[in-house]
Amino acid sequence: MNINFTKVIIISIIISSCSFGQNDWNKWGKAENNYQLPVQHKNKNTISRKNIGLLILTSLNTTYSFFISELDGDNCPFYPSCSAFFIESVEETNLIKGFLMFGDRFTRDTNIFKRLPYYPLHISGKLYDPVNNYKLDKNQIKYYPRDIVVK
Amino acid sequence: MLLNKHFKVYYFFIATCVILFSPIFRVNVYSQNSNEDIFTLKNRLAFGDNLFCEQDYLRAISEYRLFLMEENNDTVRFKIAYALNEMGKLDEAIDNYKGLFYNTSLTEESRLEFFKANFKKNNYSGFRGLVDQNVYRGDNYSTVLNKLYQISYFLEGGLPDSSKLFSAFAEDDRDMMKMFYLKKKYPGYVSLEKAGILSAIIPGLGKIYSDETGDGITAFLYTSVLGFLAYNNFINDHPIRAWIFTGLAGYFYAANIYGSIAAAQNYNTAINFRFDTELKLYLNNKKYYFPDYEFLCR
Repeated sequence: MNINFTKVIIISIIISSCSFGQNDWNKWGKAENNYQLPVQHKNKNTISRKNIGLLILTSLNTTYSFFISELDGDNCPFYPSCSAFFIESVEETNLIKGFLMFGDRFTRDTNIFKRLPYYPLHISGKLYDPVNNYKLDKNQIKYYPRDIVVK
Repeated sequence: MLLNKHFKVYYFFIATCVILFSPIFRVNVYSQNSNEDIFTLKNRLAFGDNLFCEQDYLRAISEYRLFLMEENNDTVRFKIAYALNEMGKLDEAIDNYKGLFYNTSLTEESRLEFFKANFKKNNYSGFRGLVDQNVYRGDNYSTVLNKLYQISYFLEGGLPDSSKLFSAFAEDDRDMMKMFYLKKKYPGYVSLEKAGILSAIIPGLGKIYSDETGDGITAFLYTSVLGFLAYNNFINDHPIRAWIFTGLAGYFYAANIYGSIAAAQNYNTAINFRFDTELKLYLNNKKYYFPDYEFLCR
């Protein structure tokens, strides 16, 4: 029998290398890229049914959010935003105290002077100003150093 | 004859390959056929020690635990507890230190580190209770423990007794303790009542008193401008507008008083935080006055 061994060896090497080289098909598959920036935070905008006062307030807040805030853009320099702060403060204290806290927050929000050294940064890039620090409850106040980023 | 010729080509090809790749094969053969077992207890301990000194505590612990499966060693057990302590797993560290309290060569040291872990738990009254119980307390390091005991008053439970505090420390540390004592005794708090009253007299003054000048001026502007608008509309016979501005001015006036009190409270909290941070930093630099064990690489 006339067998060409050189050809046999070469063909076997080619077949084996091809079979090993091309079995990794996933590597060359189409990958879907997502260039959208992740959303750092979003206001809840849910209507609370705990009591009639909160029902009215959260409904008003949702209306404000839908018709004004979302069209106007995320402009509040604080986290949580002033509207979210208001709802949260009323939820956690009472209506009168919540209103006073909101009035104070509104003053701080519209402060045109240098305010950066007074607040730590939130991870969303805003100034972190939590409700707990304004409830006049000494045990709930938490001080954050100004040079840290709060998550 | 033809077949024979092809065999010659084949053998030539094989021989060439062998000659070409033989040095590589030889290196591989040497590296793979080495009879030395690298996972000996000695190597594992040395590797664990290296990781420990590099402060790679998690991996060091896993190496040490594998070591302890074969051989008991007090130093290694102590190092596991210390590594847990440094990683902030204080409860686990405390349990590990307790395992070294009796019949080991590191009884005194483990008892001391046990108290340190309890100190770091931020429950200072609980720490003092443990020291007072005198159950786990060792004999050799009572001076160190006394220092921590006195310092714990700074962090919780008011001022320590000054004579006891200063007598616990040597001359070079005493000056620092005097400074901390004075800072604790006269912290420079602002008064909440004073901030509220000041804001009631002149809107925003309480905030300026609490070191929030910009907010104070803004509060003053809101209240004064809205108050002026209300006054102006009353004079010019626009009662509806006047009452709206009066309501708004009153609202911002009340919110400014509330905000001033909250600002004063936040100011005081910041003072407490800075004091605690300064003291803990000092303790950390001093290594909690603990003796320097060579095997801990600290």
